[in-house]
Amino acid sequence: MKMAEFDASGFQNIVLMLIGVLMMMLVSNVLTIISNPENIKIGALVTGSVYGENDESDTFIPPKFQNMRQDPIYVDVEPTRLIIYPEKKVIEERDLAFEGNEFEQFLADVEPVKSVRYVILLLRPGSAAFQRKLRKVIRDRGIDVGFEPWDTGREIIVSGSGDTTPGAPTQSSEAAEAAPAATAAEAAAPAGGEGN
Amino acid sequence: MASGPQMDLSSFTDIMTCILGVLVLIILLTGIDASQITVLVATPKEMTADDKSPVFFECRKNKLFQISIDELKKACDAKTEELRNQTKGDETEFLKQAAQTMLEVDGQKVDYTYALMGKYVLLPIPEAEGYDLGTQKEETPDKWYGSRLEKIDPKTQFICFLLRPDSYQIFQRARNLAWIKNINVACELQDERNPIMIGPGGERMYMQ
Repeated sequence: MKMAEFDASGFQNIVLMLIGVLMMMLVSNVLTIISNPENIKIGALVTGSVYGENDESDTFIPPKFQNMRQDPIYVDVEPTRLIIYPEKKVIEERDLAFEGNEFEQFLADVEPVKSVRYVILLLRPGSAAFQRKLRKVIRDRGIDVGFEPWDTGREIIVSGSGDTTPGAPTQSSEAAEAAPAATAAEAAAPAGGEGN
Repeated sequence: MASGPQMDLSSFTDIMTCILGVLVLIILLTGIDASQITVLVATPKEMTADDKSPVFFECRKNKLFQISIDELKKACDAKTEELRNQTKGDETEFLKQAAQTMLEVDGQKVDYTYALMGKYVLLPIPEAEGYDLGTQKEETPDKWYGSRLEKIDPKTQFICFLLRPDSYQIFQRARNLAWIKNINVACELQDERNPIMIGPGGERMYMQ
């Protein structure tokens, strides 16, 4: 029995053209992803350093002096207390008066790994006096510090905060991806060990 | 007309259709990825070994105020000249008058006595109107802030923002514009009404 014959050449042409168009779209997408250096996944980053993201983010250019060499440890500084991320360990300002307090312990743990870690203070309104003290204490230890004014009630989203793996330092993006976000003192120490 | 050898292209068509489907899937995935790129900024750290000179801006009431040391000096010098003429060389009278003098410069009250000692103690004037910074696109070099940014030399100067609690948003915008110009930025958090003190005896500011 002879089967019905049909000419598929027209269909093939359309498929070929579609493949061509799709390939161009694919290349365009891949270029968009590759050409965006901000897409590098660093171990820990707070997103949205810019306000007014609706009107500014399209044209926002990250500063050339951003710190891409050290992994941050975020400390939320409120007027009378601080919170170390991602553990959310709360330390009251009054407790800092005592020798060997938790913040000193935290700094003591960060100190050996200061080449690969730095502390970022997220400054809430009203924390002017408290943050000055903290900055001085951190500087005195020789630990690098950065700061970021952070409005009241603004959520702190630290990427990878659920990851508990002791992290590798951030010299490469691969290492950074494996690293935990903003590991605090306990995690920071083994990370430095690996890094050195 | 003689027909050539016939070739069955149905397998080829099948393969091409499969490739098409796979490509559509890949494009969907990469398209989603490309559209979700977030601008992440690795916060700059403080630079302790740099000797650039600061240019001050105060962020207050979600507005910008420039604090120009040159303007403060000029205002003080003019006041000194005025007081000298008034007191006609009488030092006691000069000091008496100086103690009661407050200057007003760019939305700030300046304590003249401290200014004579080279220290500027500035009190914000509540009713003073600052500059309302718009979006990045709007802030062209002919505008108030844009023109000041143009004058700053990134190699020798940095901007120090004195930030009040009610002005985080304008600070972020102003810093963004400074960063675009590759100007380093320092930020000194201030309480709502405390005076700003600039001069010897204070703490050093570190830019980021």
